[in-house]
Amino acid sequence: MGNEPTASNGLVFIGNATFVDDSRSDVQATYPNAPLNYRGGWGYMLLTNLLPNSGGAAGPGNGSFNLHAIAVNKSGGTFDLGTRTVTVDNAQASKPFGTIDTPAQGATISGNAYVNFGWALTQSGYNIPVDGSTITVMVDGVAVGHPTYNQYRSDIATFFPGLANSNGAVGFFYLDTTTLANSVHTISWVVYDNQGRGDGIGSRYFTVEN
Amino acid sequence: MPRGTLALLCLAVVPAQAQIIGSCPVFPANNVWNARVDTLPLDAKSAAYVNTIGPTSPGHADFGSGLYNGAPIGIPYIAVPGSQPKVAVSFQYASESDPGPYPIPPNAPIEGGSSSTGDRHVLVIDQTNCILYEMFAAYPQTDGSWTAGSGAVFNLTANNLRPSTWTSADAAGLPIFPGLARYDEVAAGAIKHALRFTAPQTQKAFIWPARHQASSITDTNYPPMGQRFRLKASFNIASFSPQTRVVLLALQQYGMILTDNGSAWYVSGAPDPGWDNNQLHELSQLQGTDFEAVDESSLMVDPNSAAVSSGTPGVLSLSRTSLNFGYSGSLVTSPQTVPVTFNGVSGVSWTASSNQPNITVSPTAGTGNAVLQISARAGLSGAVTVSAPAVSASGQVQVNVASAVPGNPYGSFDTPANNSSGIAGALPVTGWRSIASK
Repeated sequence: MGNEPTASNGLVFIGNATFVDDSRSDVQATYPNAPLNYRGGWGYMLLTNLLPNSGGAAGPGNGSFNLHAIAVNKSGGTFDLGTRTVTVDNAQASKPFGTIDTPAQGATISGNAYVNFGWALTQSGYNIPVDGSTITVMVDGVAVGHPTYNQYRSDIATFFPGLANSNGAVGFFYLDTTTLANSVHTISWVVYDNQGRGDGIGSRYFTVEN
Repeated sequence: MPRGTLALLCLAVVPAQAQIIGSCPVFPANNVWNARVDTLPLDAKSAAYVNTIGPTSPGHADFGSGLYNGAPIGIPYIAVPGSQPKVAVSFQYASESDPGPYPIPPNAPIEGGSSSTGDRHVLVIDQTNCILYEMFAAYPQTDGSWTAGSGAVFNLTANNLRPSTWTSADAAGLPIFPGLARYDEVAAGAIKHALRFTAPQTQKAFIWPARHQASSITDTNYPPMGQRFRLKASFNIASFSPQTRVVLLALQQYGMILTDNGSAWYVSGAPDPGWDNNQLHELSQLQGTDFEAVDESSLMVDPNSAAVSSGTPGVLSLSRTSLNFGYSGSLVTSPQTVPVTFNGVSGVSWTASSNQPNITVSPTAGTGNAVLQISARAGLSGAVTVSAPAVSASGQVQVNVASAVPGNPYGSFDTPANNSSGIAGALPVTGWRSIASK
């Protein structure tokens, strides 16, 4: 992300958002005749730790950023949906952080043993219990279990060295989607460290289709 | 051959299908107007509704042949080609009316005649594009334009409802034409849709599929707009004359929808010289207690759509009942997918087909759960039907195809809030955007 070149419009590409079916019933109701109106909602999980430094505290992932959402249609028309200025301060972060890798935003999944992957770390000086007992998988706002935690992944270990869980940040959870209705659902992890400092990570929509 | 004889001969050979006008469907086959309600449960307030409408009030066919007070009897309509010039229309209730111009010919018939002081409905059907135009309190102007109380435009190939709380040319916010008894249907032997009817006093409420109410009465013993009724199955229709029997059978199978305030149990139809008024007068042998209110809520798949669920309840389900496609030149909306799911059964064979050449579905057959890919190119709207005869189940996806105006996308950037601070870790970035020409 930090190595992306600056485009001709002066902006730096971060990533492509994902359309999520049935996530915005309000948009669908407002535009009942629009093609793909059930797929109007979009989302993107921005991992701010990967942002470059932009005038904040020392190190990457600190400073002030102007986020643009650029919509492009099939005929090549583009429109900047707006700008949001955010101040990122990972240097002073006090809560666990991380994200869910699977299911991807808006993904369709099935089966009785879908593997829900994610990773979580907490700030220097603290740790997340390696048995995963303080990480809770939430589906539709309901706790469904704890992941198997303390799995190694080289990219995370490399990017976030020196933290207590750097070499075991990944967790996975078998999700039995057959217990869920064939429809849109939400999933997130709620992560606490050994000092009771917690945060929700990776919240997203997904669709079950068995 | 007497017309009555023709009707009798045709009764046995008319296939079950959605009503049509010219080459246009009068809404898709899975539209609520075209849905049978003879097996649906009674509404819990049925007896109360019948009592407030008039338990002993007679039934009445508010249509017929000839003239009454110098005007045709019923709500007339006129069919026009797509080339019919459109004229300007100004509306008293413009905020709830679809703006003109409307393709109203100079000779468009007005309900009650040109000097009527009644509802003065004008119904025009563009038979090339399958568009229904309806006006209430319509008056022609000397410059060719019209004024009207309200007006509504309906795509006869789609299941769209008007915005909730909007009126139409009818008090319930519904179209009028699909609820008319037409002589051509009776001559063909069957009316395959619900009829429109009126009640003296209605509740200040509306229920699906209605979109609008017209009352100050909050007493729930009065029926809301959109309430469906049917003639009781126990009512013996065998002794009635042929024309009346067709109407009565429709009232038993498809029922009637309360769409306006008016005389009790007045059933609407279009005037036609083929009607035998003496036969139609036999409806006066019915009285209010011969009807019952129906709970049709189980038919609803989306409160903002007139589409109904179909097939054996719960066995076959489609993730969507309607899809929209847009095209502009060579650009067209990308193919869309619709999962087909069978519940409680496995290994069921099914077929999928489109009723328009510009709409394709793939695969066209399979076994068990599947994902259909539906594509469309420029052309008419239509439907994709999935049938599983082994379990007597079917489902339909309405496919709306329309030209789209090229333009830039639009939408909203919703989160994070502007000037958010103290952010760390993962940040959800969300919003919405149009996908009209994606």
